[in-house]
Amino acid sequence: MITIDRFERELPAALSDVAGTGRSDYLNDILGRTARTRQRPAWASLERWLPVNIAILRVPVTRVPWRPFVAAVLVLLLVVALLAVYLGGQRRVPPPFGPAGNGLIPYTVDGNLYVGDPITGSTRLLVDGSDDYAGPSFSSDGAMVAFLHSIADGVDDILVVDADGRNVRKISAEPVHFIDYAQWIPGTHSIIVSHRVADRYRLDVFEATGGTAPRMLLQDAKVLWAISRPPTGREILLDAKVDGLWGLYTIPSDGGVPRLLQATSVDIGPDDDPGQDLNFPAYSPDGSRIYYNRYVAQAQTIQAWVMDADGANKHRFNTSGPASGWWEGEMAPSPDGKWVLMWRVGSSSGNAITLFPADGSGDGVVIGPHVTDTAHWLWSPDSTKVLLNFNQATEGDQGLIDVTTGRFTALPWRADTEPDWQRVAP
Amino acid sequence: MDQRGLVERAQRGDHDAFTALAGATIARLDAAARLIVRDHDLARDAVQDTLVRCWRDLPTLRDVVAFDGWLHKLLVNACLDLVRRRRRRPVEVELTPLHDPVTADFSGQVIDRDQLERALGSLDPDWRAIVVLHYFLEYPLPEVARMVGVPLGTAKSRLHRAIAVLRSTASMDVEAAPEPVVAGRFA
Repeated sequence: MITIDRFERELPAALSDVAGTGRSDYLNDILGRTARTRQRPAWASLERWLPVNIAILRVPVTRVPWRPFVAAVLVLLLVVALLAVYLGGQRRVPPPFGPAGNGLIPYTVDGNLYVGDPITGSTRLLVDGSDDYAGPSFSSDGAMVAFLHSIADGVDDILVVDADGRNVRKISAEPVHFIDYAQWIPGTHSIIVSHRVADRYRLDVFEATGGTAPRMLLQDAKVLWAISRPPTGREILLDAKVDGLWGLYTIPSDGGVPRLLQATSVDIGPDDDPGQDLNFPAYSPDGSRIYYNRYVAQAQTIQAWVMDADGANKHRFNTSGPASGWWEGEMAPSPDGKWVLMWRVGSSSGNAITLFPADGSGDGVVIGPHVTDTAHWLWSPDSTKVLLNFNQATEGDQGLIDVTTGRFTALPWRADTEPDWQRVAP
Repeated sequence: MDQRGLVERAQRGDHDAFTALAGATIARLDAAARLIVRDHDLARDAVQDTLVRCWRDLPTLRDVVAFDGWLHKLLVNACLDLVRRRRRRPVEVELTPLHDPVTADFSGQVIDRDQLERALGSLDPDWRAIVVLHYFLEYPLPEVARMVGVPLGTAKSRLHRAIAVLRSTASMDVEAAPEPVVAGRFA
C-alpha cells in the first residue's frame, strides 16, 4: 500500500517533468485565426406554432329540380373520387406553426450530414460531404433540409437538400460572409439570413429554389435573431442593433422600419453586443407574448422575462427564485402552448433544465440529467419530448427527455451541431 | 482584471480579453495536450483547435466560473479527435520524445521519468486523457467522468487499470526509495 500511495502521490510531479514546459510560441498564429473567426451566435431552431383559422361558410339552401340535382351529384362524386386519387399521391404537410408529428433528427458529424430516427435509432447518411457541413435544419413542412458549407473562416455557402437526400443545391449565388443568424421562415421555402455584404449588415431572404438574388428586408442593422410571429408570420421579431441601439424590434415580414419594443439596459462598447441581455427571444404559441433574457446589472444576474407582443406589460416570468446570485433564461415554449422550458442555475447548484407552466406559475420542475457547460435543446414537434444536445461546442451526444417522466434516454449517435427535428403531418 | 472578468468580456467579443485568456492558458494546454497525444505537432494542432473553438463558442458558455473545466474539456475532445483521425491513416505514427533529455537528479524518487514516458505511450489515448485530467490538471474523478462523457464507475475502472500499467512499467525499486516518516508515525 505504501508503494501505491507513494506512486500516485509522485505521479503529478512526474507527469509535469515528462510534459516539460508547454510551448506558447504559436499563440500569435492562433490569435490571427480567432481574429478572423466570428463568434458563434446563439441561434437555434425556431419553434413553430399552430394557426387555428377555421372559416365556416354557410350556403343558402334553395329548391332545385331533382334530375339536374342527381346529375350534379354524380358529377360531384366523380370529381371527389379523382381528387382523392390525386391527393393520395401527395405528401401531407403539417401546419407552419404549432404542434406536428415527430419526424427525423438531422445532424452533422465529421462534416457529413445525417438523419436519425429517434424511435428506431437507425441513422442514414443524407449528404456525404466529407467536408465541413454544419447547422442542418428542416423546413417547417419537413420537406427540405438547409445547411451551411464552410468555405473559410466566416465564409459559408447555403445549401438545401430534399428530405430524401436528393437534389442537393447551393442556393446562395455568392459566398455569404459572417452569418449571424439563418433559419427557415415557417410556412415557406425561404430562409432568412443575417450577414454582411461589403462590411454592411443585411437581413436577406434566400429562396430554396436558388437561382434568384436574395430579397433584402433590412440594411445596416446587425441582427442576431429574426423570428416569425405566429400564427400568420406577418411580423418578424428581431434582436438587433438599429441606429446604434441594441434592442428587441419588430418589422413587417416584407421589410420596413423597425419598431423598438425593448432597449438593452447593458452599458457596452460600440463594438460589443449585449450578451445574454435580450438573448433567446421567443414568441408564445399564440403570438401574444415574447419571452426573453434580461441581464440585471445591479444583481449581476440573468433573469427570464416576458412581455406582451406589443412591448407592454414587461415582467419577470417567474419570481420563485432569488433576485440575485441566480441564473435563468433561454425560455422555450412548447409547441402546444402548455409549457415553458428554461435554464435555472443556482449560485451553488449545478445547471438545471426546469419546466414551468406557460403562465409562469409554480416553482418549476427539474427534468432530465445534470448538465454542465453549454447545452441546447429543442421541443419535439408533438411537445412530448425535449431533444438535448449536451455540448454544442464539441461533439456532444444527443438524447431525449420525456417531459412527463423527466427520464433521459441517450440517442445512439453523436452530433456536433444545433438540435433540430423534422415536422411531419400529425 | 481577474479571469471571470476576462471571460465575460471575451464572451461579448472583446478579442483583447481573449488574448489575455489564451496567453495565460496556452502553455498549460500545450503541456497537457502533449501528454495525451504524445506528439509535438499534434499537440499544437489540438491546442489551436481548442482555442479557436473556445473563441467561437465562448458566447454560449453559461457559467463563466466553469471556464477552466470547459476549456480543458474542449482540449481533451480535440486531442482525442485528432488521435482518432490520425489512427485512420494507413501510416504508422512515430512517437517522438516529448522533451529534451532530462538532466535533473531524480534519485530517491519512486517513478522513473523515462519509463513513465514510455508507459504513457502504451496506454489507450482515452485512458491517458483520464490520467492527465486527474493527476496533471487535478480534476476530481467525478468531474473527469463528466468531462470525458463516461459513467463514474467506468472512469474509476480506467484510471485504476491505467495506474496499474504505469506502475508496473515505471516504478523503480521501492527499496531504493523508502517511504518517509509522516507526522511522527512510521509508515
